[in-house]
Amino acid sequence: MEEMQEFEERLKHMEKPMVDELKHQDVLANAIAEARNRSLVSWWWLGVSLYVLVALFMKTLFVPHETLTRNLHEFATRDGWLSILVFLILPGLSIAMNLPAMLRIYREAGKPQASGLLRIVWLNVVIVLVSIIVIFIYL
Amino acid sequence: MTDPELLERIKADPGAFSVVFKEYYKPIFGYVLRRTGKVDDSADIAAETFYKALKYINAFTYKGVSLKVWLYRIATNELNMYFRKKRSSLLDRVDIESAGSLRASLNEDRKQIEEEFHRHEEFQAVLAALKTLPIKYQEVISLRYFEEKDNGEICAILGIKEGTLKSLISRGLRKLHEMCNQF
Repeated sequence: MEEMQEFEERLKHMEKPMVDELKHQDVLANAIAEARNRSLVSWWWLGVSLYVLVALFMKTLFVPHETLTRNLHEFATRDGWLSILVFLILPGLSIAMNLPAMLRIYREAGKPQASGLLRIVWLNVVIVLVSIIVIFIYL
Repeated sequence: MTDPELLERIKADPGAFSVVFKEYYKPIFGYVLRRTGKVDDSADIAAETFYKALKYINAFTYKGVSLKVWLYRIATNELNMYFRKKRSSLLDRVDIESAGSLRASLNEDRKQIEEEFHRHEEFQAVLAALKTLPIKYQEVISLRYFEEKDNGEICAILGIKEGTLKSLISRGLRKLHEMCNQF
């Protein structure tokens, strides 16, 4: 016990290396201002699903006596694998990509409060919600 | 200028972020340096910290935490990524010219910082022992004994409760003591 207290005192009073003047500071300020974020928002993945869904929706709107459910059913029967890819796999991928991305952003942004976080991840939230809606409509 | 005033200014004019940079770059760089012991990596992590702060400044709402604590939080996360080898470098995202001049000015700083480090042999030995411990112990011990932060600040930076902090420090100290005896 006494030994631990001594060790703690030693750590407290130990001299630490300190940083004085930093020449790279000014150069860095400019580099930060021009740095670009290369990560891409994953709208792309959902684009194909939305395109097909909107096309089916338009068909429902403009062709008399058509319903979205019937059009979807027809599409699923005619192009089984394609419909699974478009309405299940792609939205599923979008969800799988955006949920971890939101968690990463939460950590990177210094664990902000919910309102602050929502301001920066709103697009990810929208993508996840749209993906869920697409899957829900299909199922 | 208070933190909320500064924040409002930055939200209106991102150029005002230079005030934050001037005020906090040195302490953040020092914190990272005393965790990694490596000049180039520290500059890169500190740079990434401020890049993320600028990028996510709109998420910061100044409720309960100060700007300084928020920057320490981001730096701590970057350090965790560094120790887990899961981070990208800011130098990958700037143009070649900027990266070149940054490396050149960093070379000038390196000699002076390394000399300062070599003057503190005891610290180097403790840091080497500390680096063998799990990251959760490194964080609390570094913030408490290297950065001389109080319990409230450490809890705010790490987002943990005081009871958890005390137990982490107690267990971490014991482990560090054992490691220091082995070194």
